[in-house]
Amino acid sequence: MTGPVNRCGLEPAGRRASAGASCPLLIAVALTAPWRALAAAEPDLSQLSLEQLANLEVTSVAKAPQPLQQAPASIYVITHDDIARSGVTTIAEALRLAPNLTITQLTASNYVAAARGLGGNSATQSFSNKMLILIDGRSVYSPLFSGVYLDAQDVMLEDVDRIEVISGPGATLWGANAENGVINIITRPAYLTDGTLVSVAGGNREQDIGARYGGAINDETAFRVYGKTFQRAALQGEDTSSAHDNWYGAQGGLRIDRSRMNDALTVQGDVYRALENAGDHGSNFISGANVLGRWQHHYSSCDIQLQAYFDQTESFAPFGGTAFVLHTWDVQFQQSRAVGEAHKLVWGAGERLYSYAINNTPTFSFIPERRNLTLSNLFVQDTISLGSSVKVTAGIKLEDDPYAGWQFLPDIRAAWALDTTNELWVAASRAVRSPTPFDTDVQERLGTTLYLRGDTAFEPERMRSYQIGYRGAPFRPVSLSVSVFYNDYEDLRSVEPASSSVLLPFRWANGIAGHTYGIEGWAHWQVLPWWRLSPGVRTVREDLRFSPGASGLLGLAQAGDDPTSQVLLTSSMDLGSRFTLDATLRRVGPLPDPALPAYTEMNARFGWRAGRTLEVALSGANLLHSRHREFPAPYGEEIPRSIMLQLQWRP
Amino acid sequence: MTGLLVMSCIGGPASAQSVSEDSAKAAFVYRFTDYVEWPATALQRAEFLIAVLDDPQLARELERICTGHQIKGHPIRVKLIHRQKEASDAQIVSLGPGDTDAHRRFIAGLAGHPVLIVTDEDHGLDEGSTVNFMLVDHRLRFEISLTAATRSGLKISSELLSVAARVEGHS
Repeated sequence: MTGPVNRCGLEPAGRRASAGASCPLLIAVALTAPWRALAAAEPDLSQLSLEQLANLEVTSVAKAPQPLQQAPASIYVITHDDIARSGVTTIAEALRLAPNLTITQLTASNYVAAARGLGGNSATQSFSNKMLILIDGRSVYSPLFSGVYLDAQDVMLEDVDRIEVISGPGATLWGANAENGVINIITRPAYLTDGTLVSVAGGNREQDIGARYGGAINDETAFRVYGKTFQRAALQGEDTSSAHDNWYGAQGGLRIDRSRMNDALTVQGDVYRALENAGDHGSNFISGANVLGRWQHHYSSCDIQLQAYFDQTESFAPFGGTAFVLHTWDVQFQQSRAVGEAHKLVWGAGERLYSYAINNTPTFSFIPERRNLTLSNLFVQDTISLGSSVKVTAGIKLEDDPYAGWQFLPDIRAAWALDTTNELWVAASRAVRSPTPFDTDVQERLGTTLYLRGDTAFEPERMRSYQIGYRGAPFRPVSLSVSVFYNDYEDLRSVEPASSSVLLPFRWANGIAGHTYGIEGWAHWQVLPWWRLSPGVRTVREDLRFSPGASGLLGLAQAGDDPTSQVLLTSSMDLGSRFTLDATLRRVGPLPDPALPAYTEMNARFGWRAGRTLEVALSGANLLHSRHREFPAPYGEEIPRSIMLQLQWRP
Repeated sequence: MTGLLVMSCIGGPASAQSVSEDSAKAAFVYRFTDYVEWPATALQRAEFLIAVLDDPQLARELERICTGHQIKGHPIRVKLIHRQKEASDAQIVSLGPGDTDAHRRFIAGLAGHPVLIVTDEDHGLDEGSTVNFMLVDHRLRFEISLTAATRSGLKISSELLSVAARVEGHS
């Protein structure tokens, strides 16, 4: 039922994934180094007395490199501790902690991530294709269809520093496809993951073993190696029988960091394999490897970053079914510098080459079956301080898309500091979802009849986004972030008949337009020193229409079968110094078409620090029901309750 | 953790000027040296070494602020470090980001060394540090553990204690 075939969304029983965009480096880079250089303009503090120093107002509160939090955007940060205390074992499950994302599990291995609606619809071969996911600066969306195969993305979760989830466009920094959201998964440098860590987890639904060892090569250089393996049980079909989608896999990797006062060098890589049961058809085999190098250098007034990576990912359906091999080469450069006292300039350029080959089948093929695609970009962004409380950030990216040519992706934002703890911000942006081989080259047949084909005339899906937000600490134990968005879309993908007189084959076209709007917000409330409550809510309304001349085939829900609302409530308790109790309740609103009722579920974890080196936890997922469904059958399966015992040993 | 603004420069009272947290911290660390007395054995080397664990930005700020200055007659060297053994010659060690457990182990490993250990954590003094920074109403303040100072053989002047937001233990 899964299958590479479906991986590209060809068959009715499709798999989905979220989508991604380009330009990893931009993120990490653009934002780390840059915001720091302001310090250069500061006065000599060495002459001040202790009392004077103690009375200085200090700006940033972010200790770790969390520069993104500073950008005027809707950003939620899932911290290392959040992940550890939630008991999750996969990236997809960790992403459920972000109130500005909706995560939908379809099968044992197939999850969809979406922000702000238009998250695809498995019933119409439509995918969540407007999201970008980056792992340590490496883009992991598939250029074949703009979605992300989350089953092929894994990290040693214990080594993750944070996951930044930006809802809304980030195209100016990250490029095409960073349309509805950007997810930036950042692992710790090797010198922060010293020593041995072994984690073992077992329960009714999954078993996991992972180990990491970190050490020093010399005073400036540290490394870590890790390996992990897992198996996960099948979900259930409608009659509670097995959905035959159990899977297992393994991954290993290495990271080396050299860090000196003014420069940092990182080399890292991973290798993975997994087998996913495809029912009567055998198993899908997925595998991949990647290697990335990044160099950052700090000069007195500027920072530069150079990053390059190679990524290979493959998927094979059983018995000669659809398969693909994708190679990605990417190189990016970025510089940020202060210009005068008021300007902070960031510019950069990047080049990416995608090379892919697809094994076509009689019913599902890409013509041509192999291509080399290049993606070039150039961007510049200036952050201007106007007076003491207003900052304006304006930027533009020029991206040369392999299908649609040069795209202009401008963005302007303003932030107004009301006082030291409260900020208002506004943003207006333009972003696109670029055409992919699935939009232009695909051919699907029923028997020998061609019934659907891609169209080389397919245009980028365009959007303009307007946002306004507030964040701050309205009163002492509470921090709050609220934003409202209005997205205006043109040329969303639709299905049209071959011509006005001939029905088949259908073809992809750009026949849907409209807008979406909604609100998202979250808060952290430190109720008591040992108890934190974190509520989060998001809503989205989709007001779409078919363009004049469009056929209206498959209805407007093909753009996204999205819940109109979602509510999260996380409670985190420290019970003395040895015990922790965490729980997250989530309510996801009903899906319109195909319809699914709203559901409420809860994950929880009880942790016990059993000794200096041992931590034991009992965790459970989807505890409220013996099973629940997150997308209608036959695309989504029933997800049973899960209970697990976890041990973590750090000798 | 969310919601912390990042805008720099906040209006504030007339002459108040806002600076980055790192530069304020660097200035404090530099100024501390006037109010802390190290045992003579700790100052036998030519240089006064300030080691900064895993925090390049703070290291750069410290280097900037220490340029052209001396501490107790010694030229100052600021060194970014990643491992404990590099800290053993230092007179000051400032700990950057990291897990509480890792910090605890790091500090425990410096037991008996005459070194001023500086942290910036919610429970920094519990980790064993001597000085722990904290933000109070957007001002950088610090707390001092006399217990830890005594353990390291350091004497802290009453002037410094009077500016501290909190003093723990007895000398």
